[in-house]
Amino acid sequence: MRGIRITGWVLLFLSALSLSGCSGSVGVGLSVGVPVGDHGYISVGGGRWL
Amino acid sequence: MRRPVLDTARACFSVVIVVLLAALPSGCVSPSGKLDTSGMSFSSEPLIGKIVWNDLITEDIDAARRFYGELFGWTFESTTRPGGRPYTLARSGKVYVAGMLQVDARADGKRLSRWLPYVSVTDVDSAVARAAAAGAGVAVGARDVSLGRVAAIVDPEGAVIGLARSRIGDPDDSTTAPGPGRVVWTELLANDPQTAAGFYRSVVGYEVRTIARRGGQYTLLMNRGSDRAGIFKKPADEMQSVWLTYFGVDDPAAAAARAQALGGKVLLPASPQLREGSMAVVTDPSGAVLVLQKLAS
Repeated sequence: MRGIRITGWVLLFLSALSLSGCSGSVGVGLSVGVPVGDHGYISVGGGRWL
Repeated sequence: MRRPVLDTARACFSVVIVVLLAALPSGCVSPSGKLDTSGMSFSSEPLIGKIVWNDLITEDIDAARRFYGELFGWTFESTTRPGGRPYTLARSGKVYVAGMLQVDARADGKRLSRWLPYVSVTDVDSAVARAAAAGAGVAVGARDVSLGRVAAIVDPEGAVIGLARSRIGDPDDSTTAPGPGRVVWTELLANDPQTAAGFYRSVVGYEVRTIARRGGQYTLLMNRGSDRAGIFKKPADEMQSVWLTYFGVDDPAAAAARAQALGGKVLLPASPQLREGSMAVVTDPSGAVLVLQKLAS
């Protein structure tokens, strides 16, 4: 009986943990190693930005 | 003899204690410390098509922290990514606005520093599959991170964008309201805007609306009536198609001058010919491009 009770409390704790809605889940952090090309060309055509 | 009322009260008290104990740390613990998201609110349903996060991929994280800290008043928290690699979270006031991670420079000298937006999708894996079927490359395959499930693709014109499905909902529109140092818009400069719009409609599920603007056609990517991103024809053929991230400032010309003083470079200064002086395009010290957008008064 005591084991069941402890298991119940642990399950309740984990449920609260998952439902708390404030789990610090911000941020991604993927390392994307794709070269960006030459951004110097952005300086061309400033009058053509719609 | 046991008293039922007392037992019930004791059980209720215990439940409250357990919930509080669970909520306190989960509220907000990053792998390396406390992460306080109390200044943010999240939607109960995913906001499909919304840019829900932005990462700066940089070859010089120390210079980036100085630059954005001085330019936007951001503060920073050091955390770790899966695998224990460093990851910096940037805050504007009480809101986490971006992440920053350092990458090693390539041996061939090609630059990697960029702002990378993440768009909310219903299902990352199926979105990646649709993108690949439509001619996109997969820069990083679908995987689980603290936010949820994410991936990064290279669209058929070569512009890179992330896909995300958050575990806890997306930052709602009040959390991401425009302000100084906040991301206020995201825009694709494409060689063929209509084809690009069709690609993102099929991958993300956008509604597409084209409007007349400044003598040309500007394409809005929308969902449920909200404008989520824009596309227009890149002003120069030589330019690589690119997703640009816009940050709110009070005075684009002054902010651009400040960016230059902080080690950045001005690519397009604010001028009457450039959207009536409402923006400037600069790079940070490691070459990542960003747009400084005048906030509506």
